[in-house]
Amino acid sequence: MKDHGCRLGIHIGGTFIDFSMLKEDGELLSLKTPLILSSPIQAVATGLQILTKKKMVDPSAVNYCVYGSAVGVNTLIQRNGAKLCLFITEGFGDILEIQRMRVPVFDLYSRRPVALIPRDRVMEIKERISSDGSILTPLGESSVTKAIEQAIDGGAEGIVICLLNAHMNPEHELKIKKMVLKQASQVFVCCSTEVWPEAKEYERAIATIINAYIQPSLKYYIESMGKMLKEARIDVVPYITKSNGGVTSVRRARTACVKTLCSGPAAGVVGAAYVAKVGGYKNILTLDINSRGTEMALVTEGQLSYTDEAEVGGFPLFIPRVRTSSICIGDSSTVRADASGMLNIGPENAGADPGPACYGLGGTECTVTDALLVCGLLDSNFADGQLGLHPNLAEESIERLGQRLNLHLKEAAWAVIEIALAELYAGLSRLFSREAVRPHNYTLVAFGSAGPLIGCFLAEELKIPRVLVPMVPGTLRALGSIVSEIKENFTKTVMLRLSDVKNDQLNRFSNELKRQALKWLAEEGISVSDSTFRFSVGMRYVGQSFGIEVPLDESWLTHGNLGEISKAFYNVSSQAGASAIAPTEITSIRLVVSTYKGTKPQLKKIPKAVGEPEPMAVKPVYYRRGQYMCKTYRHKALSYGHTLNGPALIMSDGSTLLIAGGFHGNVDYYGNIIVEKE
Amino acid sequence: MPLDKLALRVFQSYIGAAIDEAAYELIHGAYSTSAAEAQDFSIGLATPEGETFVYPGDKGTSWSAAKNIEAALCLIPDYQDGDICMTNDPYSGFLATHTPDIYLWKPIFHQGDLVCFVWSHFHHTDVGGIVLSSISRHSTEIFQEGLRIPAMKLYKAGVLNTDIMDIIKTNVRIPEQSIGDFKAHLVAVNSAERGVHEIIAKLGLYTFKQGMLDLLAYSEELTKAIIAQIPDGEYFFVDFLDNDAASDMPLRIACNMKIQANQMYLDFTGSDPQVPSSLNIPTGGHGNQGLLLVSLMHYFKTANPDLPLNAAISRPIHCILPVGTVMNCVLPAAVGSRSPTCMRVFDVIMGCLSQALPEKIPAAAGANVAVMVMSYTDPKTGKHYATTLEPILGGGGATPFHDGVAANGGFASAFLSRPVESVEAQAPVHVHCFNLVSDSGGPGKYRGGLASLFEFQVVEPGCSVTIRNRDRVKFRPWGIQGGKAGLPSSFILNRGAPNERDLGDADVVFLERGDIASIITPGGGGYGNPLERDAEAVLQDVRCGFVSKLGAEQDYGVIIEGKSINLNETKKLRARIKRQKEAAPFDFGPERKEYDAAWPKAVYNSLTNLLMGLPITERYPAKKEIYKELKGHVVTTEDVKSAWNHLSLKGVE
Repeated sequence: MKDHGCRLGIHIGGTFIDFSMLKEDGELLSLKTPLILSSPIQAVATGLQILTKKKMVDPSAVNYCVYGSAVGVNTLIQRNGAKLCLFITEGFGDILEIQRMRVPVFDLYSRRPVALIPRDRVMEIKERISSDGSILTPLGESSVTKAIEQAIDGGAEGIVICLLNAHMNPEHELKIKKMVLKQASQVFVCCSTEVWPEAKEYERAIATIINAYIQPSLKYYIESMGKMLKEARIDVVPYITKSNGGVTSVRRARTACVKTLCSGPAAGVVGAAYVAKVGGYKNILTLDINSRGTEMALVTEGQLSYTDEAEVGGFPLFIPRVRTSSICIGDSSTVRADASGMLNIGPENAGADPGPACYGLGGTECTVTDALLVCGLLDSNFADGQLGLHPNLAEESIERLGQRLNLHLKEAAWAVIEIALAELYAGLSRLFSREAVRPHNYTLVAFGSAGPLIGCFLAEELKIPRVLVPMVPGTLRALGSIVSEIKENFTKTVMLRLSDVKNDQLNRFSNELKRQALKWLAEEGISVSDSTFRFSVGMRYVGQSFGIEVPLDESWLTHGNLGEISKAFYNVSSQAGASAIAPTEITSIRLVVSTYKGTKPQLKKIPKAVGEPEPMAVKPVYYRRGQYMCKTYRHKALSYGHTLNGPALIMSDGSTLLIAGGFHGNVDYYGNIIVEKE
Repeated sequence: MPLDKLALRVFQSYIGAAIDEAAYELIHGAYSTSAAEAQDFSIGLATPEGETFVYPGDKGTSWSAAKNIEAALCLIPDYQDGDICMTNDPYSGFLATHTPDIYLWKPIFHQGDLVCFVWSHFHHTDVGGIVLSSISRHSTEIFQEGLRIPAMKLYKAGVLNTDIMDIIKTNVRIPEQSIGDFKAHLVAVNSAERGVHEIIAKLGLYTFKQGMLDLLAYSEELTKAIIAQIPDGEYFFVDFLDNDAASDMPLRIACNMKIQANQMYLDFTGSDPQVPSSLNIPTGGHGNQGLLLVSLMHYFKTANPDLPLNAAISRPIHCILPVGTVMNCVLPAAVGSRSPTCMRVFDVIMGCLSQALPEKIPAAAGANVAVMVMSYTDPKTGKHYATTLEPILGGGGATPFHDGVAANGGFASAFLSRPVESVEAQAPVHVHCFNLVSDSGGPGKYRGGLASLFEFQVVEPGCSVTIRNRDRVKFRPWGIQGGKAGLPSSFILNRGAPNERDLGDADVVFLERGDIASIITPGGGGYGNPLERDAEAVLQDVRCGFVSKLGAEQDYGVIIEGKSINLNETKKLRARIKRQKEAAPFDFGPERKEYDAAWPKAVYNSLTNLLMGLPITERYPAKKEIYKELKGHVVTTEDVKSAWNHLSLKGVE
């Protein structure tokens, strides 16, 4: 790999495809194009052509390419994944029907999501491992042989193996895998312990099933992307974004599909943290509003926060991911009013097809986008003119809403935005109180298609002193993907009371993890010296159901320094509200390995301003129940040191920044606009 | 003046987020697992008059959303800023409905002005009393149900009353756990208070005060609109608990629902006298206390998902709860196991509604909302522990549109099962099986939800399990519109072994090392004629093991040969069965049929009428005597009268 060259990032969302290209000299190019649902890869190819032609880049100069996509999530939601069988311990064959019992509340007709594997394709295997990993019932090989035969007869493409307590001892799972590979070479196999070997059988089974379920479509997609990239003369092994805020080579992604499911929001947070750091801000709140919903995250002292709780398509996902909170209000969320005039946004979403009324694709329901357009906040030549919006259709849909609310057109449009603001305010203030941090120490990084439009209002409500809008707000997820590290998580479940830890037990466990990590690094072709190793443990009081993750110094594990470990636990847990009342236990030891591929990417500074910025036009804009004349600018035409006084609209690829009256924006060295109140 | 709808909607978002956050803090801060896994807590904000105006969207016990706390608020004569009040006594203001539910409430002041109250309960693992967990359905008086804390201030103007904390620590079995949970509970209450102050700072005091009133008015308006859609008329329904826990007499709940325009009247006259067990519901005569209205809340929310659940939904609902019955017990009645009775109340209300709205209401769920708790001694420390094994929930009732949910019905939607791997890592058990039970769902065009089987072996000595709230061991969850009843529940020790024992509805069981316990929950009732069930759906059920081949033939008239349907034979068989059977609106199963034949509705009503004339304490003994005398025959009103006369002769006043 050349040390310098062009980095290309592609994010394929639900409605748009974002491109970000960081040239050798640090120049940042970006593009947003509409997604064509029927031929997404073709849409990427077209976008790539536009990007390279328009910006005059030689595609062969690309020496690092990362992409991320919603293909996994879409496969899951559209239910068109692999035909699978599940092999599970005898006595637990109905696990996918029971689904930990819970069903949505307050609905007489509520049901669980339909299982990804129907019950008649779940086979019980005679075997049992106890909670300490010892074997209670040896593997009944004849039950395995029979199950494999049944699976093949039923035409299964893949077999998922999840056995009780396998995270304590994977022996049986691996044995079955061997038998399957021997007996049925035509199917692929996923073992739960190879996906994420932690306790909770349903969650582990689901993670493994999803991994297998989306595998064929992801594989097909990776192959098509590879072919397309080659045809576009981009001849590198691409990387794919992961939920943990890192990337992995596509070769590995094929077998670790489930780890890519939440990659979109994660890439957004990584991108936001990157531009904020470059701009000199370490404490940020990210506000990523896209067509489907809103993702928010706090980054404190430059550190991202992680979690192993998520829900995708109605299923729990316990694979580590960048912690984001979501609110299902996005640009394409539909808006409705009840008979008494109460307004509600979402959770229904018009998506890409038919999309908001103003797309002119047949949608008639009013969406947030329609409200923004009616207020004059959107350029009807959206996404670089590739998607023409129809203001008349937006007006019609808002008009109908207005009649129910007894409001004039623009008042009704603003009412929609006001409700969205209230929901977002409520969500964000919860985030601050949960993390016990104060908004006035933070900078709001607003991006996505609509984040920059309402950033000012939200910051003002939350008393956040400033809003940072990156140079490429509409394509920040794509930028995030090219500045992400290569990264993998490892875990070892131990279930060990601190008082029971013997001699070098922790050292042995941490060495085991490190060995796995080194093997992984070697396979990825990365040198150990460039990599960072971060250890942590999952800990809780004995008897508690929630554990917390406690970051550790590696030496505490190698030297078995229990004192430091408990101290670290008490420090973290008292913040989380628990109290020192009972013995503690370590549930798992975790290791995260990360490194940059090649040199760390560097953004180029933009030229210094000479004179005042030239507005492109002046247009009427409606917000806060008032009409204002707004100067409009093109973001990329601005220079370092420019000051823009509100009201002003700054257009960039697929996103618009509104600097409301009473605010002003300063352009920094990297093209970020810092918006503050006068 | 009311806020405009836009301002109200903004207020609703803010206040909803504040209360959700408080609930989150409670779940994540709690030491015991009941908050996270059984959602056995509540937190809400109430007006100074006690009407709850906001409650978390999808967290906490469902019945608390509509709670009116006025009676408890009045027990504290003066409120100051910084006070936190507490009670767990069911007879102090009827806030707590059994002793493990410790309630806290805190007045929220803004510049000296009382704005609202935050109130919250947390179900503690134990508050002392006759058994671990403080709840046994066999308690005969409230005095056996642990420590009773009358309404008092835990914090007075911000200062903790450490004496009362010492009393609590001394009286509960697992003080560390209780204290850990108290801390989380207080954090949550204070979080809600902080949230209120933030919203006042943001929207102003006027908007806040008006907003809470308007939110209530809005819910009332929507609720009335829903009731107005129910056909006017009277709908009567009766259902029974298997027994009253003090004898083998079934416990009767009766309700007459009257719909008049947009008002609903629920008259529980005809329900049995209070019992010397803990199945009594302490309502204090208040229908607006929330506990009774769960099934209605579900219906309302199904009819209009935008309806904000708060106390105002009970404004158009009027309850008659006769004093001294299980629906409104008086001291010293024990109340610990009021849950199974409440479940039956929900069934009864659904039974009434189903007559009014046959195309909308599901069949009965296998309404067990039981949690199996194991207590054991840690061999390493010698300390006692109690840990949840699993919730024991029945299958859901089939709806007019689809099959019932497996292993969760009866308004227990929020319950989360524990991972078996977590259970085994904690408790000295090996779980053999946690699966569904074939043929347990009531047959119907839409099949009732399947029951679950939880089977485990004990691997240490000295263990016991408590399974509160089980019922439907005898009387089955009913099917409707031609649908059949689901299978009843069972609890067997050492199934198939020489020392096999049927434990019936036992709620506390001591287990030896090596014992294997198997608990089967009830299955949900079916909806619609099973002969109308799509034969392909029956075939798929057979493939999945949800229905046996025999069941397919006998219940659905579908003949399955090998892996496919014999269409010809199926057609013939279905036609034959159709001729034989006529469809009834309700199918209660054979046990109930037999009981109804012995005690026809009118005869039972005459008995209840007579009993209600006696002083409260004498009703149950009288009922027991009359029962004894009439046991074994088909009873008539004359029989009841003559037994009554014998009773008087025996000197019962």
